Amino acid sequence: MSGLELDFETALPGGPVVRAQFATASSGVCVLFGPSGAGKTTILRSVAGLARPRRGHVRFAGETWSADGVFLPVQRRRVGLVFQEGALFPHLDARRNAAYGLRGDGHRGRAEAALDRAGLPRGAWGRRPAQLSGGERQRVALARAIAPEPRLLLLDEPLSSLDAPAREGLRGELRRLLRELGLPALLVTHDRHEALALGDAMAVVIDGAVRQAGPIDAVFSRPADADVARAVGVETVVPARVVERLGDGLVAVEAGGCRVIGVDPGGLDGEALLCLRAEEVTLERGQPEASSARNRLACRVTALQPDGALMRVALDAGFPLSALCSRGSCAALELVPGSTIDACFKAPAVHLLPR
Amino acid sequence: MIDVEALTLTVRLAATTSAMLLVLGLPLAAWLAATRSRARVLVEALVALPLVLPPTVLGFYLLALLGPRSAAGRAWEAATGALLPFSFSGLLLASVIASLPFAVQPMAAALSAVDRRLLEAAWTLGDSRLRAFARVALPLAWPGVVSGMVLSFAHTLGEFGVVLMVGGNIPGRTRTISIALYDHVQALEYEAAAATAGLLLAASFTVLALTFALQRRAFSPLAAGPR
Repeated sequence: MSGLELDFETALPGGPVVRAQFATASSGVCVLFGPSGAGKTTILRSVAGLARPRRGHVRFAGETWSADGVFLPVQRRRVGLVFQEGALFPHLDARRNAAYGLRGDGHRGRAEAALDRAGLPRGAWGRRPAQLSGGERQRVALARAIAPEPRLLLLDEPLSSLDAPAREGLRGELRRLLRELGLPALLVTHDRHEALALGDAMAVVIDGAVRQAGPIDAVFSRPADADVARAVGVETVVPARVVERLGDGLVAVEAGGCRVIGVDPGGLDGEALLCLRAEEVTLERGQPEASSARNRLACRVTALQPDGALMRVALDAGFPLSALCSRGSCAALELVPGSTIDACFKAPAVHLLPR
Repeated sequence: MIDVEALTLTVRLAATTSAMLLVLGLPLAAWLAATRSRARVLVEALVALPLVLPPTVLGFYLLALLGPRSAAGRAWEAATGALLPFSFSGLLLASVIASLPFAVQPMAAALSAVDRRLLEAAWTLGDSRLRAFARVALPLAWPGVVSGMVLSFAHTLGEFGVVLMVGGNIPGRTRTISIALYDHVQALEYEAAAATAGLLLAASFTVLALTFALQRRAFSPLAAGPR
């Protein structure tokens, strides 16, 4: 059994062309990730059947949903769609919203089971959307989408309309629910924490095209090109030049006057892009330990910026470099703009892209 | 005093006109609210024409179009044995056209204001377009639909020019209250004229005030209910 097989081109009236070419597994959550306006929602709408691709095909579980001369209407695709701000029916209470897609006997009980599963407190079942909080509304939207037992769940930025505490709380629950349901799901987000927390696989959409698709850790740690690297949050993307092959699959490059050792991806010839994720960089002060595979660069702190519970430290190592560290260690290292510190990272964390 | 025969005829005409505009105007309003067709602006302009045209112009064209010398007029005569002009049916047709913008514009505005994503959500949950319209668009837009019907009712109550051109002034058949008022003034029956005018004013004001009150009640629980 296969999941989604997408290979199509679509465009909104007067909008840019969006191309999608990737496939998903028959289960698990695939994240459509990319900056705002990249075309993620357009792809999702084409899968739902709310937009009709200009050419190409959409297949699910071996069934053709759209192709030349074929277009299965949205009503018959049996997808559950969760909109960005819920799009709940304002004239119906939570229970009737959840029961909307159900027909026949026992639909009330099935709607209540779905609300229960989505974690809406019983006391809120009789309330209308205007009387619910943002988080409660998204739970109702989720319940409404899963109640009719869809074959595929589509979620368009399901948490982006919530404030930070509600978002983080619901994110954990959403992950649990998606695992429990075992439904294949396609989730649109521009938030990489959300992507990492919820996704099994990921497709990166930039400027109207899917630029890379694969297992989520693979995409995050081995971006296919500089745009993908920037989008998934490899904070450091700098030009580098290959200076020496060290054997054991290691290569030394020069970037901003520094010598950096990384893993040779093959096909590297002269110019390269050096990618390094902020999470991989640790900050140390004092005597270096001897370790051949470790990079240790003397840096100057240029800026400190809070990022959730962590602190994002912008560094100048001859090239701009980012590190993430806890607020505690920031204080212990007495980091202030202008102070000097050593940035350490292992060679395998250095991702080199041929250019 | 007040011409009761003319009054009953007018109320019957206004009520039938509103009912017909619900049947004809609602699909038209739904189309205007949903379409991306280029023909939309032309249809909107056509619907709004009775707002700006002198009623006599509209009446003249209807008379020419429906009279015994036109194909449509002859077909109607062959089918029913009666002529459209100077009959209640002709008057009804004229009133429906003259009141079209008063019904269609509020209905279309209310239907356009319904978030399209709500309809899309209903489609993904298995509803056909018609079913989603009935279950989502109409319940959310009904104050606009009621407004359209009330406004067309009130407008037909007071219509004069078209009625005079198409209907003439036949007591019990085409003589409406506004024409009765005109006759009273012509005959220097100022007391009857004042009573008729006062009644029309009071009726129109009451109907409009009721509509606005209804709309407030309909929208407020959705906008900000108690938490």
